[in-house]
Amino acid sequence: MDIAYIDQLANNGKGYLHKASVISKILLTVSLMVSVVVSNRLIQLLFIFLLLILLNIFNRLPLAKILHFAAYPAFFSLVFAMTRFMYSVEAGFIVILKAVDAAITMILLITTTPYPEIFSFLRLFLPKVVVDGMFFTYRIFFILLEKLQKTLVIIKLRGGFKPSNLLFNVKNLAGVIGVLFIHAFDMSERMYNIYSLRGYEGKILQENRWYKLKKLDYIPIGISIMIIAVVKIL
Amino acid sequence: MSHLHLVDGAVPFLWWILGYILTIGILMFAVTKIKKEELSKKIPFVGVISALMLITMSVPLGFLPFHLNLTVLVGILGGPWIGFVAVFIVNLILAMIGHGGITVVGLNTLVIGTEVIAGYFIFKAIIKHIKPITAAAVAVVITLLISTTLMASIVMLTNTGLEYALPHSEEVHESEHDVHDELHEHEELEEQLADIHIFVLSGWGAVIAILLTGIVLEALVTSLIIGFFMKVRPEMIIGNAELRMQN
Repeated sequence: MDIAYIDQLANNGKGYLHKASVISKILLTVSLMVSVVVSNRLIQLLFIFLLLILLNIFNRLPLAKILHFAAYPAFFSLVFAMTRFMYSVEAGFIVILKAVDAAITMILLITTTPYPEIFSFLRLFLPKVVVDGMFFTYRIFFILLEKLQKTLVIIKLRGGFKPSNLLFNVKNLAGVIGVLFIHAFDMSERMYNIYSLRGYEGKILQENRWYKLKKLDYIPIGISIMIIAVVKIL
Repeated sequence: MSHLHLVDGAVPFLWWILGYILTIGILMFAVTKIKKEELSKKIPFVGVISALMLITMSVPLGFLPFHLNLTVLVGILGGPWIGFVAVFIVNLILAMIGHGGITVVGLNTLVIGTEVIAGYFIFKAIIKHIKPITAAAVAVVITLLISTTLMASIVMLTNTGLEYALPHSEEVHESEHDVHDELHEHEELEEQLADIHIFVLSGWGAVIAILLTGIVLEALVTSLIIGFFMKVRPEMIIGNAELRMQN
């Protein structure tokens, strides 16, 4: 999982979608997802795919890397698609394209929108515990990931990882995860104490201007309307 | 390990909406179960648990195409309701990076959330009679059998092929196609199963081998971690269980 890389793209990207508001990007994502779900013809899904590719290019996102992310759902849908190929070539490609289009849509959203902004939007629908839990997950994930990577390197350097010896690896891995859990629990206590000192009473203050529309919002909103219209026509 | 690796569009609209409704309902219940006065303290803990689940899922296990979930461990350490909230967060974040569809987040949360809840209650029930390490292994095995059955039921009910929902196996994607009769679907399933090969096994043998390997691996790692906790922080296991028994 490349959560750290995706986060870097979302925060430092220079595309026009990066400058648009989260509301307009969510609208674009919803339009794309609805179009993917309701589309049952190859031409419709190909149109959505090409549009997504163009959106990635115009937003200066690394296309090769994005397609690499999308390869995951494509791979998992491939064998099912193979069985559909027996009926028709179109049916097989529909299966693959639906999976790929949906994945690229979600990836486009998170590579152009920082996680905290998406979480702020989700606050409208989800319980406070869930959204604040997401904020903490986002913050803690990177700290723990670095800790895990360092520990795994140490384990490998000291001969604690053998690709062909599963039991040996599992035993050492359990120790690593155990240490990580204890470190994480201690961190959660420290984090709570620090937040309490800052006046935390069970609610993280969110970015209060996340919902404001921006000048460039007409682009994603326009594309959203266009997608629905074109998919309907096709 | 019972993660539904289904892509968007694989499950009919009605089913994934139902999945979301049920999940939101359980989420609301879980939030009310977390004591109000403890809520502010528990939120960072939810974040920690969710981050740990995300990270353990990304740990490589050598040549085996598996990832760990450690859902039972999360249930034991965090309790069933905090664990369920964490599972929802993990599934939502995973869906955003294309790991499982956004429409099946509800169904995924139900399956994996079952592991957290059942794992906790089974562990709590048997820890009085057997050692914590053994209790953890037993809880994991029973829990994963329950969640696998639940997963299979969802897949069957939604007319999705079982073999595509297996961990790191192939996925199913439903689309509008010709309606096949039941016999034809059965034959198709058999053909698809015959295509699955694990070492010298194929078909149902391979499916069972995948499931058993996943269950054994998850039980082994969970037991080893519980053993580690019993050495360095036994109060996190025994203390947690006793504290919640009183509540």
